[in-house]
Amino acid sequence: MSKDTIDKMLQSSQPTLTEAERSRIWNEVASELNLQVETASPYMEFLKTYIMNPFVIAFMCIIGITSTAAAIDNAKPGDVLFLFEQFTDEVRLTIASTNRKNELRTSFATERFAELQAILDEESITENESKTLALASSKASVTSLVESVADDVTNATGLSIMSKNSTLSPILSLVAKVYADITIVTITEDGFVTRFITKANTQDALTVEIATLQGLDVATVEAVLVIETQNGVSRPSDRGDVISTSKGEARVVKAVNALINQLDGIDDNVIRGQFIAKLLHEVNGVKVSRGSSEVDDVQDNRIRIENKHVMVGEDGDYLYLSDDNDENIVDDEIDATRELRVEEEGNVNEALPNQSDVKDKSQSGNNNKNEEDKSEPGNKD
Amino acid sequence: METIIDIHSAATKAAAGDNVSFEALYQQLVDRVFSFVFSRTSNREAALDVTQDTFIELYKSLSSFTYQSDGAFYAFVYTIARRQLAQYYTKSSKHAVSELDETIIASGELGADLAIEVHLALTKLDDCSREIVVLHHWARYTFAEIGVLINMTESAVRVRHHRAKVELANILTR
Repeated sequence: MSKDTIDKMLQSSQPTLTEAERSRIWNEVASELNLQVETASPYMEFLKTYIMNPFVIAFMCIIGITSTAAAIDNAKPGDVLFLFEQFTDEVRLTIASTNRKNELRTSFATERFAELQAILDEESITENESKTLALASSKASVTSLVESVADDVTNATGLSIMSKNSTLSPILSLVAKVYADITIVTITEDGFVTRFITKANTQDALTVEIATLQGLDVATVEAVLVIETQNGVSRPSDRGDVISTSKGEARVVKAVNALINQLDGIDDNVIRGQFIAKLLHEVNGVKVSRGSSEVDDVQDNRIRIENKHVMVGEDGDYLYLSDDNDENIVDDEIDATRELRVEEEGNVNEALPNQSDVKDKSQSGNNNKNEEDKSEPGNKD
Repeated sequence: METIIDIHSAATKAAAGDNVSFEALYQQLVDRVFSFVFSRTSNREAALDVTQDTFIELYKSLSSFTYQSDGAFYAFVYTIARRQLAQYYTKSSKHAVSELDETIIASGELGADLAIEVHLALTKLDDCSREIVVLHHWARYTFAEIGVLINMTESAVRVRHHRAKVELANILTR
């Protein structure tokens, strides 16, 4: 038996403590020695007195309620606490006057829209990061394999078939779209298109980053790189057109639903149209597959949502909800296939309405949703 | 889980009544102490009790300890553990390992049977050799530290360790 074998046997047979045993011994030791590892300050001791008990309890209740309320307020669609947020919103709507309801719904819709943006940001960026990692990994292995084969051929024939300093692909294009917030680099190599996101926004920084990440020499990148400056910040569809995880899909769908539900109750088609235009600006290009047989029917420019079919008017100032036949507004129908189409994009440059706008519009009494509902569906499509 | 701490600082603060430092010392040493004690009792519950008593005694004795080196501190703890073992032997009228606990929880992937074989083989070594092997392989002391613990030179510890392993191999292959 070798020395190594003895070493391994000794090491493997070492008696060890379980976590429970380690804790048990410490508790016994601390108890026996009357140890107090965390020494309370004199002020905290005062709080423990009988007289202070009601104040301490009241204080804890206030802290608890405040923090819970804050947590509910920060909840997003898909979170458990979001149900409470919806509930409190509904309670506020129930007790509000008619004019106030419109203001509240607009306010809630603004919140839902911000939550949708946050979710799209989280899910889209995650997807792109994973894409980039996968790309870097596969690229490295392919490069290694090709170089290995090239070396073998060179050794066997004496002919050098590839310079290691040259690019592997003779057909390469690099396009960097510089937005206000990020830069999206699209790489087309032998017909294989990939993209990644970076914070670099100058030619020099982009050249270095692309060269490093893609294993290309700087001269090649400089020769091929095309930089396009874009207006404004990037959209999810610019950043990445797929949200791959089922959890991500579910969050987006729920967020869209939550927003649509609020828009459904707003009695002002101008405001609703503005919201829808902004919504479509966000979700355009986001592909969602829900894992059902209906997936095959989903077009690239659609996002499927659970119970609404939404369309924006040609001038972006109204919407209507209907089933697949565009005949009626059916809120309680469960099995109908409905989608949020994004092929008609509204005026995305209009800012979301502020509260004074809402008030003015709600007082004007124009653009009543019910009137639109009755007249428009049959005329669309 | 053993954590790396500054023994000097922790021992000094613990001696001054800093319980957090004493807990850090406990986390640093408990696995070593338990391994050593278990090798001398081969009874899990007894080893847990003796380990517990060792740390209680350590806490009480810290004020009398003057730090000189980490090795000296380990020797201090080791001496307390041996004293607690002696008390255990006195109480239970056991002087050596006569039977092995069936609930050996070993760190490696060896089966329980093989772990028991190793423990039994260790009992067949002389006390000094067994102690060196246990202190080195289970309690993770260096040969220099073991020399301080059992009052031998480092080279003498190395020689005893080598011979002990050869003997262990012979026992295990019989």
